[in-house]
Amino acid sequence: MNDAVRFRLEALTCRYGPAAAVHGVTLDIPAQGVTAFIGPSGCGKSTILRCLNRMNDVIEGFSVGGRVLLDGEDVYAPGFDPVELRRRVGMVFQRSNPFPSSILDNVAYGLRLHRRPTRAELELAVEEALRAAALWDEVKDRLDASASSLSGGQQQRLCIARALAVRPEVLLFDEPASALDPISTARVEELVTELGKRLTIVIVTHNLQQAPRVADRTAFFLLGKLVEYGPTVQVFTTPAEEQTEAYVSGRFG
Amino acid sequence: MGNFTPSRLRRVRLVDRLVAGGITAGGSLVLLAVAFLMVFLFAQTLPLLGGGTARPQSSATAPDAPLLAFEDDFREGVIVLGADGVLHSARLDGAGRTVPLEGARPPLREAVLDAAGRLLAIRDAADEVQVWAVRVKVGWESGERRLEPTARPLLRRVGAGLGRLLAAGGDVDAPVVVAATASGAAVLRGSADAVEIRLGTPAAVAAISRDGRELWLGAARDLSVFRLDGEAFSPALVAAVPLRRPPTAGALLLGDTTMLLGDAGGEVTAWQVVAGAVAGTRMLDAAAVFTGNGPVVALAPSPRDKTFLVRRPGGAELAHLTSRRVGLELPSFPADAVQAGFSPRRDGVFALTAARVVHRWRLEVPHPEATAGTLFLPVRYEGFTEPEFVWQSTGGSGSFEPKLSLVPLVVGTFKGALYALLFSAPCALAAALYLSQFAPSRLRTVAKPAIELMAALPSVVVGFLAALLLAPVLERHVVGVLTAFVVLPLGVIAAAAAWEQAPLAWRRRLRPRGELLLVVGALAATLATVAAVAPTVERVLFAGDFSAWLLASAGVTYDQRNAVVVGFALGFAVIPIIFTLAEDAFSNVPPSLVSASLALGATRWQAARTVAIPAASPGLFAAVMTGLGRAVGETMIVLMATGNTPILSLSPFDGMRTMAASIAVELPEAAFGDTLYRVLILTALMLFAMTFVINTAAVLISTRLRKRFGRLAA
Ligand SMILES: Nc1ncnc2c1ncn2[C@@H]1O[C@H](COP(=O)(O)OP(=O)(O)OP(=O)(O)O)[C@@H](O)[C@H]1O
Ligand SMILES: [Mg+2]
Repeated sequence: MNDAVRFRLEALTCRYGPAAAVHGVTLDIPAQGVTAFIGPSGCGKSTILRCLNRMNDVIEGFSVGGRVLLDGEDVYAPGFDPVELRRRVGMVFQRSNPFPSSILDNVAYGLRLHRRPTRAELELAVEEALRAAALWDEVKDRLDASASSLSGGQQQRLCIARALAVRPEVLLFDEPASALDPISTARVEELVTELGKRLTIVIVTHNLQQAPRVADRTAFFLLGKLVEYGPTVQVFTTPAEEQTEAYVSGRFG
Repeated sequence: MGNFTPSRLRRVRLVDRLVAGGITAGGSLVLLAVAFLMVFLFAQTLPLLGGGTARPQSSATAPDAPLLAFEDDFREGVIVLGADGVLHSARLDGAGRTVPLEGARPPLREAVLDAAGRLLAIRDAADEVQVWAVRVKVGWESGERRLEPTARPLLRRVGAGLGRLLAAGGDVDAPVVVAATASGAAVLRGSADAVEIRLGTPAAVAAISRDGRELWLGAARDLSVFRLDGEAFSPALVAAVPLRRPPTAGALLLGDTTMLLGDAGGEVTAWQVVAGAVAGTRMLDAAAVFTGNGPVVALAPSPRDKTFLVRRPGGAELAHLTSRRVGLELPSFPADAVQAGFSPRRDGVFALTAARVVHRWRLEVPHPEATAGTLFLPVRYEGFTEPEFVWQSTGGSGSFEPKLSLVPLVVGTFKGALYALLFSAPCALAAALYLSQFAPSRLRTVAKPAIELMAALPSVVVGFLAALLLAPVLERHVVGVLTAFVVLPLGVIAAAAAWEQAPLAWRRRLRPRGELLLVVGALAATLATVAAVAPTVERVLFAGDFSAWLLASAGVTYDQRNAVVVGFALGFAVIPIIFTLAEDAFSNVPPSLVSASLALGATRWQAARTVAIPAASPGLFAAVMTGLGRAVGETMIVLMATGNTPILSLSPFDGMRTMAASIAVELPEAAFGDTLYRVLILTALMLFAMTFVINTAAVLISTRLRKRFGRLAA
């Protein structure tokens, strides 16, 4: 186990306009394993997650205070290119959002953004990404079929493959399974666990059973503040805080 | 919710039914109104299609040995000159009057009438040639119209030695008579001696222009034109041309420009005087040839238009010079006709037979000059040497022929629309892309309504500004404006490229408001440079005067109100339409797709190019097509800014006339039911069809595209 810190949040404060949504969160995310963010709706989980690859940039009036360090570098520093950041830190959204094009084109999208890969390179990378997303066997015969011909769970795995194809160091999941049926959810969870062995994974989840299943560490947020952060087992079985206890036992939100 | 009593339920249902009925009725009324409009427009253009009809009417009885006949304006009767030297006014109801030509000794040997039906030349039994002014006075007597032929002697000359009388012409003050001689023709005018024109062979046909100044003589081997004016009265040869066959009949069409010659081969050739190869010379040119079965016996010109009657042994038919249309047969035309002609208003034809019958036909050929050919194909009008597309619906003189080619209008319409799109589509699409994908939302909330407000500017104001402000300014600064067109985008691209090279730290500090400032700055700088450099460019490249250079080097004229002005003005009107629809299309692109693209490391431009634009493309296409439809139908701006010159030219520096503008300008002047009126209605129909096709295509193609870029994962 490698204890290197991938992300370090230092007193991260996020504002939408004048209203602060996240208040001084300080948190280290190790390079290895899966980190889960849990907490009631509106507590700022997505906001923090989106700070990690600066997807909040496009939101009008959004501002950050504090620092977000990726491998020791402040991603909000003036010289830091958000485009480069997003290539290193991929993201999978709550609702699958494949492009309205073929399966192959979806996975190849990120590769084609930065250079013009040869057909052979492309096919290799696409196969690798689809295998990593456990989708290869299901789609290998119809790579040119429209992405919309896939089921919801397959589409979500396609989105994961698409994110993996650019070989990110970190993959962020924002409630990746909340729109899926139990079987698809299980497959995505398996995948998250599997990927956690190679990449830094941060996953936001509402599902209190999901966090213990996939996450090595869990952070519990309430009203924009970090309440408790530690190994998942500890957070769920012997929480230090009363509020955590209330939340994980289902007496909350 | 629970307390829906039966009575309340009934009331709700009633209201429901009433509202539904009202809406259905309203909608049906609208559809009905549109349908009615279409049917009306269509019905108004239908008469253009038909070739017309000629129906036999009741005939009149002529006196013994009739020489010639003519009709009065109202076609109440026929006036027949008999060999007895008397004008017999044969009313159709039998009540006749007679007017003797005093001093004409019967039996008259021959008689000819001029084309206007006012001059009658006769040769009497004593071989005297006399010219009479004839007229049909119409009076009222006990509530009935009465026809009173009158005849006044004008000229009496000894006709000995002269051959057949060929033609009479000129006006009442200076009548001219032409007779054949053994070696050519003799011209009798005023009190002077007869002037002999030598042709080598006796003249067979002749015609004198209505002003009496031009004489056409056809002999066995050639056709010649002479000028008769000048005090000395010596006919001067204008032009001559050898003929393949001896002419058997001749007639000068209204306008005195086209001489028709018929021959035994059945052909009728339309001859016109055109400029010769050597400057200042004239020559005769066969503008058209009409063929038919059987030798041509006689030709008669219409007094109102370019229609003429061709008589053959087997019958008679009508033909029209401009449309080159032939073949309206006169049913049961008598084989023994001695003379035939049109009524003064061209609403009928009569034929006089040796058997003392005047046959009559009612003619309904309302639009002989408007055929698919004249409307859509090049036409060689009188005075032209080549077939051309011309729109010139009104002219000064009575014999002016309307030229109604729709091609210049259609081309002008599309030219204006395309120049407008050339300017507006890039502007509007770029604005929509920028505001929806790049601009800070504060700017968007200001700019979007501002652009949409452009649509609220009345088009008459836009047209007015374009015509009175933009056009003169543009004329003075063409070079600058055209340069700016090319340089502005380049300047922005260059600025962007330079910006990419700037240190990242600088670039970071500016987004996103800084980008806007940067672009505006780049635009301003480029504009300033262009403004500063344009005079030099004009001096160096175009010798200081662009329009003069254009004319000298390319032979292109510069109209002040030209397609560039229209492009700007019409483009200004079209921008808000394209912008609004394009902005909608961009707004409908699922943000999740753009997010997905950005999350994969795309720059905003990459996200726009690979996701937003393809996903919005059906809507963008529809936006541009709708803009095109609007530009095609726009009236006020083109009316004011195009100069309204209906010329066929694609040059950006020429004006134009659009279909909509033609309708607006000319329909109020057109008489209900006449050819111009119907052609304008046809133009309106075509305009409707065009916008309909454009809009339908927009919908169909964008639906197709939408299927291809079909949205999913909303
Ligand atoms: N685009 C935005 N503009 C303004 N306020 C926002 C925006 N996005 C989120 N917020 C606010 O920030 C706070 C945190 O939102 P966030 O989406 O991070 O919550 P969350 O924990 O992810 O909730 P959920 O579990 O429902 O997804 C909320 O109070 C929300 O109202
Ligand atoms: Mg969330």
